Amino acid sequence: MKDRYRNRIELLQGTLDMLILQTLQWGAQHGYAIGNAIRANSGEVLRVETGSLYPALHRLEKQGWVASEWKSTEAGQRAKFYRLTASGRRQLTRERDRWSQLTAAIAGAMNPLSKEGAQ
Amino acid sequence: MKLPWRARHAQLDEELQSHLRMAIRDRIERGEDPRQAEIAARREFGNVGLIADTTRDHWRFFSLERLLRELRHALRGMRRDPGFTAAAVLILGVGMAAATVMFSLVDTVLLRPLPFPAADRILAIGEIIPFFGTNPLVAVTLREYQLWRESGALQPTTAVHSASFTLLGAGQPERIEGVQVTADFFRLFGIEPELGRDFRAGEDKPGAPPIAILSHQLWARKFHSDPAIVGQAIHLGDSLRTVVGVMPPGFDFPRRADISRLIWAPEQTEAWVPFQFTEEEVRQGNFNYLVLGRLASGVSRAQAQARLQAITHQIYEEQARGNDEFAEIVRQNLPGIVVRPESLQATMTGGIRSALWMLFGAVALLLVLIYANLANLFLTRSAARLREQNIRQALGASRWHIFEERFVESAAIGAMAAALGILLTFWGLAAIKDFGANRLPRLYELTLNPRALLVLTALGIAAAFLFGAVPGWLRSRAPLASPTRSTAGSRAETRLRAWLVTAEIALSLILLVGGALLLESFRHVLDSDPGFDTRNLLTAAVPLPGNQYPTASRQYRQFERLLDAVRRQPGVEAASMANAVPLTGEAEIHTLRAGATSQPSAPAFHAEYRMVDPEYLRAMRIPLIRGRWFQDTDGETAAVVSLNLAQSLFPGRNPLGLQFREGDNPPLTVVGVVGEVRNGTLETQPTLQYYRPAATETYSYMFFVIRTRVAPESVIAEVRRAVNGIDPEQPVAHIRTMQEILHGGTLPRRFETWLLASFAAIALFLSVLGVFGVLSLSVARRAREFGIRMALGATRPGILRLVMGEATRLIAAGVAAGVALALLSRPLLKDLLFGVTAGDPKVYAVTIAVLVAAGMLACWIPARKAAHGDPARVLREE
Repeated sequence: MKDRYRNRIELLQGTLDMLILQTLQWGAQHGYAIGNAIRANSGEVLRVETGSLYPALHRLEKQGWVASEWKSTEAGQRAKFYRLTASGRRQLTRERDRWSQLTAAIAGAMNPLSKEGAQ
Repeated sequence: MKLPWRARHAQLDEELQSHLRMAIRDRIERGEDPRQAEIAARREFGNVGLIADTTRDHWRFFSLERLLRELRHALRGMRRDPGFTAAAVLILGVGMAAATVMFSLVDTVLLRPLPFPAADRILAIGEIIPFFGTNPLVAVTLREYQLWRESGALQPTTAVHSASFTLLGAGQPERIEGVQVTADFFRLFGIEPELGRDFRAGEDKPGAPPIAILSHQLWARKFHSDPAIVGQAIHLGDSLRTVVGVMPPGFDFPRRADISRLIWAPEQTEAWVPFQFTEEEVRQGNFNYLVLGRLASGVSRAQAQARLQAITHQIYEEQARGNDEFAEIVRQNLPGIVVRPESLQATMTGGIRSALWMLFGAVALLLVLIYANLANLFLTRSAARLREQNIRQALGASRWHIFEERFVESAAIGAMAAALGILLTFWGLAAIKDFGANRLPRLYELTLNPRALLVLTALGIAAAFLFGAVPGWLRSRAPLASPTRSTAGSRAETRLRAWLVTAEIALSLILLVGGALLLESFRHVLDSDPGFDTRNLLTAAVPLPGNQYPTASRQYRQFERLLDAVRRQPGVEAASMANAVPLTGEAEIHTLRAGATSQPSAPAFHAEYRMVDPEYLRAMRIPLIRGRWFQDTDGETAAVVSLNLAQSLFPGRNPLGLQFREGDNPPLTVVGVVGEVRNGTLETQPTLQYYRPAATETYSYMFFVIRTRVAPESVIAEVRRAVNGIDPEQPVAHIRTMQEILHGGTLPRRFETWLLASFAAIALFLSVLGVFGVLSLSVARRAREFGIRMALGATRPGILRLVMGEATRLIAAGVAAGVALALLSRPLLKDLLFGVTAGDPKVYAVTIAVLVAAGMLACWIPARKAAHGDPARVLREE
């Protein structure tokens, strides 16, 4: 069963990392809020499993792209907040570039005619 | 204080809990029922423990924390199954110790170079003289030393001769064992004295001032490590000698255990004096001297050999000039006379090399067997734990995780076995040192060295990998099915286990055959008749001191005075003397021809010459076969011959009264025939022998043989007192009982036999255990099948036959493979056997019978269990 989680992480890896970094660029957030933000921003399409989210957060933290600290939420609950580090910000830029290249490439591959027309 | 990873765990848990709390809160705020909200949030969240686990995996690949967790788990498992753990640790520990001890032995004795610079260029030069018979390699003569030294093939060259001295004036008088060496001795080894200097050129010439060099040990023991000893004169032997140097600790060459193939050497050399031999000693031509040389630069060993051999052959030819008898011996034998310069290390270890490699091979087999056995044991155990494992996997434990756990568990067992192995290794090394340090070469250096520890560690890691990996690998291929059913593993596993057991039986058969052959050889050796009574017999070397007895008759009279004094001691039954002691390999060979006149055409026989006192026969208890033994009235011409010599000289005739000649000397008349005596070892055939009374010809150096009424050791002091009562200056050296001589001669054989037999015993035990394990498991696996068979009318004896049939197939396959392999490995044992051939059918038959019987016995228990199961219960249970 653990393998299943792992596979899903791998499937989303990179993408999920990018989404998390993207979410954090507007300020520190805890895991629950990150999950909710991704879901809301994707129009309820992308649901991030907690089983993928937390491993991803810890992995990003180990990479040094995010840092964490314990703080109180607005509702007065203690939670672990993650924020983007300088190298995380650079990583986000890289990922975003890679992502636009990828989408452009996929779009090109999906619509070869329009590509030819553009030439 | 919390451990750092505990705090980290708590934080992760709290993080996940806070997530859950927020999710529940949101749901409640959206208006859900609190209970429903919690259930829904939890469902959405998933398995908290599992998510925590997965997250933690990202912290580090193989953290200390996780390792400890696995270890705790493993230890819990071990406590649950102490029998398994103990068996695994014990078997593996014993195997590792056996392998490490053997490795240390081979490493110390055979592989490690001697502790001298460029030690491989130090040669010991022996000679093969076909008509000497007993010992294939003998020491050489001083004439050879002189000429070899000038040849330039060796640079430097030294001659060594044992000597012992009485040390006076430093506490209690003490007998110091040492050697006489020519001046180049220390330069040859490249070892400098720690104090003073070594010998200078010319100090080994007759007339040079008497000097000595002491061993570190002697210096510390008798002179309190006083550096002022250098330059002082000490009373060593028959003169005052000036100490010129002290050697560093650890240098005590030659040692008897190392060099006993060539010369009699001190157990440990404590003093070196210059060897100032005279021209007279050179002329005598005794093969008594150890010659060592360092291969000159630019000379190969083959070139050196050729040069030295040419010189030796030249010496023989020169000596043969003008001596017809000798010329003929030389003519006959010269091509067979071979000079053999071997590296000193090879000379030291030559007697034991093949045995050590054989034992090393045996221990390797044993180790393979142990690993097969343990693999089997672990397979069985992991089969028994299949249910637990399946349940855990169903609950989300990954395969990797379970594999890792198994690995940690086997690593823990490997570590415990290594600890036990180290203890056993120390013990084994001490036992082996105890057993043979003074007899077997280089054993005194034996220690647990870092390389051996490395071997031990490697074995432990290999075990962990093998036993963690093999079952894990098999499991990972098996589907994750039916955790409640089969507790006996898959079909592939059963096949693997059967293979393992077959291999175990085959390997143990090889070891058993080897052990049995060696035991049989040893029995033959002990059974071989030395030709005299070895019990209650004391021997001693008695050299008459100085030049007080210039003629043979005066020497004989002095010896008889000493012997009479010995004979008067209450513990002594008889005492006599001879020019050499049996079973030591010392011999003097003469050429004999039948007939009263010199007829060079008559066939020549080379026989050992013994000059003896009339009481010799009684003292030695040699059987008299015909005629009579010597009387005091016998003159120069009387001789007693051994039975084989009588048959050789005078085939088919009554030898009594017949004559034979010893070269050109006056003919000798046979007065009696006695049994043959083994003069070499128990393992060499007796040579031709003849005896003459010592009254007519005596040396100044004779051996006393003393038949005692009581334990011979208890008479040693009496003998010394008796001799020194006649002459206080008379040395009595090398006092040994004949049992000691015998014991020393068979020690290497006992060593090999003892080791191989114990390996074989362990192998037998393990393979029986293996058969038992496999059969038990197979019976457990097939309980349902047997139940059905019995329900359908199979009888209990039928089931018994079925199971025993399976066992028989396993054992038969193993035995067949084992016999084939044992027959293939015959050449390995050939050199070590005595009185039995490596393919001896009787030994094979007995060994196979023992193995099959033991194997069948091991099957009987599970087979009975299978036959006596209650079919109804078995069927209900499954």
